[in-house]
Amino acid sequence: MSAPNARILALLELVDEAPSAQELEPYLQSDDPEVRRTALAVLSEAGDDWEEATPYFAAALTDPDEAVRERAADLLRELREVLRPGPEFVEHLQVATSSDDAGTRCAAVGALWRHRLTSSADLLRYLSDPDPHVRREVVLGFVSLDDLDGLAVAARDPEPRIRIAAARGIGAVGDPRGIATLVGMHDDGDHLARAAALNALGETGCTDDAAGLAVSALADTAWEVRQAAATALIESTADGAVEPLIVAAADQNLDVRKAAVKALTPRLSQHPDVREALLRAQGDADADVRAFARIALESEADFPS
Amino acid sequence: MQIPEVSDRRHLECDVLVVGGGTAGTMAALTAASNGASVLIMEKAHVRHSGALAMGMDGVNNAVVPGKATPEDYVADITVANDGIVNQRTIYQTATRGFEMVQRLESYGVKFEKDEHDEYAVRKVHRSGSYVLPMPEGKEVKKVLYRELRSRNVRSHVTMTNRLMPVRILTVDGRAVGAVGFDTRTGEFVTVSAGAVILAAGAAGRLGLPASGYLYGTYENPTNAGDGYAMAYHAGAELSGIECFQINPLIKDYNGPACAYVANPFGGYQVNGEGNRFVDCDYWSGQMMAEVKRELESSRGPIYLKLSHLPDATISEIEGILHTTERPTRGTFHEGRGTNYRDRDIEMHISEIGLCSGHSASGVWVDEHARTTVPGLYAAGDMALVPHNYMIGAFVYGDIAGEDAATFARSASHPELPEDQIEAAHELIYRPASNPDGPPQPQVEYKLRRFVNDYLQPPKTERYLSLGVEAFERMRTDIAQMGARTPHELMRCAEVSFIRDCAEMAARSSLERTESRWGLYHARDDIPQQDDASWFCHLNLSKDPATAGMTFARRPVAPYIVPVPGFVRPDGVPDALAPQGVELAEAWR
Amino acid sequence: MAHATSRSDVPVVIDEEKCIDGCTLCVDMCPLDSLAINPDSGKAYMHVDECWYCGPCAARCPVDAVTVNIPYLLR
Repeated sequence: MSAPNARILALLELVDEAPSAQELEPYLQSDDPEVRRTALAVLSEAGDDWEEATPYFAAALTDPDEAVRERAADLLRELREVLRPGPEFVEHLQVATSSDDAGTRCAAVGALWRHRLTSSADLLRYLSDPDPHVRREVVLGFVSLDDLDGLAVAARDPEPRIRIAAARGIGAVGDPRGIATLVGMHDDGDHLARAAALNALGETGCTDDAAGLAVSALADTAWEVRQAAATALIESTADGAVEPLIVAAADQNLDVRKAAVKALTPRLSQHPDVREALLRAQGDADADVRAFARIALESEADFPS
Repeated sequence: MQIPEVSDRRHLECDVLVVGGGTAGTMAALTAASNGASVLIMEKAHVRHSGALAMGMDGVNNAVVPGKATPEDYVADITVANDGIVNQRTIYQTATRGFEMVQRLESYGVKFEKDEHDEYAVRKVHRSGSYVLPMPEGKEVKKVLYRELRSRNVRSHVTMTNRLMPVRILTVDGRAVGAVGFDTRTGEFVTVSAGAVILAAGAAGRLGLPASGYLYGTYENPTNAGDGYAMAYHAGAELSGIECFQINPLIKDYNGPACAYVANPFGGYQVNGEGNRFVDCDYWSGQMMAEVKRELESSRGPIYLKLSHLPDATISEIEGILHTTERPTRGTFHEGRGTNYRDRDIEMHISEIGLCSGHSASGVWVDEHARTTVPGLYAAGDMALVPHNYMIGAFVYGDIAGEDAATFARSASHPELPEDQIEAAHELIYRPASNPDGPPQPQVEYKLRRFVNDYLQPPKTERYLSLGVEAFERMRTDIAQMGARTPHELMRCAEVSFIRDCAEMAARSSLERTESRWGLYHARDDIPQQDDASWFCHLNLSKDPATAGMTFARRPVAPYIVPVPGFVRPDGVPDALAPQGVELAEAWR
Repeated sequence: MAHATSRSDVPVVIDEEKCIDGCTLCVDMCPLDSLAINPDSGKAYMHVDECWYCGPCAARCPVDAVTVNIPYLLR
């Protein structure tokens, strides 16, 4: 048997002994990457003293072996609820943020914000990372800090998926001060980014200006945008939205019809045309459209205006 | 193999015996231990990966998170989903204790989805009720529980035995006092004396034969063969709602969950062959399953899980969850078929039948303290009748059972174990080894489960159900002649006897309830009407101590403690007051 | 009773080159107990065709020696 295999066997035998990180130290520092990787797994299986164990997972993020680093990144996510961050943990993570390996930087930034160990200034620095996965983590970090300024910067990222994440993030913050950034995305070249911005208006509130843009977007060629526009209009009281929403309730895409029916529901008592549209929707070929129309008409019967 | 003498056995003692180290069982053990009991877990697999959560869970179906839903909403929704035939007090426990359980699990390290602000990311999946809490990184639930069981504070109180399979609960004067079983690797005969016994042995998931014909290609973990149902029955406990089968939509052939709860919040949905969503029902129920079956059999079939309309990045995210959590070989399956979610929707079907209270409402009758009708015997998890109890309910009832059983065991005597029952169990375990040339278990089991499909699969009729009863009686002879050569084969043979017991219970209960109810779950094609005048009640079955045959009793539906908007009780029984004061405090603790 | 030996395509495959002699992790973890150690080679193998294709055997193997295929009838 090879020496590393013998070490792995010895390690596996330790699992049921609930070994401490100190007892695993020789394995965690082994020359063989498979031994180091297994040692991390054993530490996570048998851990009891998390205070002691926590720094090891962060340290392994800068391991020379890629498989070990990947295991460390997985375990940092998996163990988030039980890890006990201390200065050593933070130090290792900070070192890892300047690693050459994008996966490592991503895991480090993720662990830092998830443990609330980072600031807006740090995040803004990480936002210049060349790797979009890292920048996506940064966007989540901004959200955790309700940092609308950071999100506004991310909303101008060259990569569509970062702009999408930023728009979603502004929705998650749910603050009307984010509306300006979302409105600014109305002519984004990426249809999914436009859709994300409109969807987020459903969380931040949809001012009349924004509603005007959403109404125009109901005629977008992409169904995702039309669906998101209808979703945004749920939050608007603009009168001009009613007719376009009635048209959207007969859209060729089922998700657009569903969103339009939901947006028409609060307008039922004010506009007689809405009732007709909802009655038509009750006979829709799609069960969800039928159901939301039915729920709307039934709830009106319960609470006549 | 050598058959041990009845007297040649290992004897174990404990305060609380937990049968099954899965979801409910591990929680029962943790709580019983924290209440000072010495606990023994009997697990026929290995606790680290046993039970329904062998490889984790990708979401909670029934978390009542404050601010997102109320216990009252939840109890009312589950009442409606079960056509009113529920003991609301049992559901109320899951509703009120579920959130505390989520937090407790989290403190152990189980991951529930939280947003960037550290709030639980509860999703609205059905049109009513926001109870779905995703666990995109929930693949390590059992790892966490296993770690907790071996932590310094717990390990001195809990003994885990892997590959030890109980086959019968022992009773003295009608009280559960232990169990008898064997080591599935060595064949060693084992008896256990316990102050209280908690059955947490999972669903009867190896009942119907999957369409593939592969015995172990079941929706449920196939080790969950109805062991607990059979053991409770033979111990004299009442079982209830056995005619309310479990049937689930799933990925055709792979037979794993389609995971609508994962895909739908991302924009995925189920469509018929014409590309339209077709489920009119607002919540998970037998009615929904009836709609699914109708669609499959219509010219609009088949049905699909549709993801192909979603952006590439979203599909990758969904794959990242579905191919790593709960059933990770799903990716392997699709790859083998050349199915890429981006350009091909996923063909779905419905599962074979099973018995499970986690998804429907058939199981061992328990009250809100997880007590069965046999003193000292508790049931929790998929096998305990708390409707639609899912994973959180399994944990909650494991916790409740662990606490109550620890108290019961404190003052319980340990009488001499009944030798006649031990001898009968010995015969059940080792008989196939004395006849090694008899028909092997795979053939006997295939035949038995094919009859389950032939005669029990809804829609049900009296004629087919009666033929089923006949077939299952006939299978007693086949089982008596079955042969085995290894302890492993003895395990499978004992399971076949459990499957037969469950099949007979399912057939007889379905015959007894002369109406249709719960949509597809109990669709009697010969009596299609729901008959509230006669059947707005629970149907409980038990083993008649005098004749050893199956007897039935109707139990009235207890007064509701939570009003159910839009639902009028056909029997006119007024609602009782919801738990208040001390009782409420007890429920919320 | 007559006996026939018939071949069966089993889902779990072990790479004997990688599998560590003396390690029993996959055998210990299998919920169906369908893996065993071959006494001749000291390596794991599937001794009965009983598989839920659940995957702990593969996920837990420290040297990635285990492959879980979908059982033939479902494939």
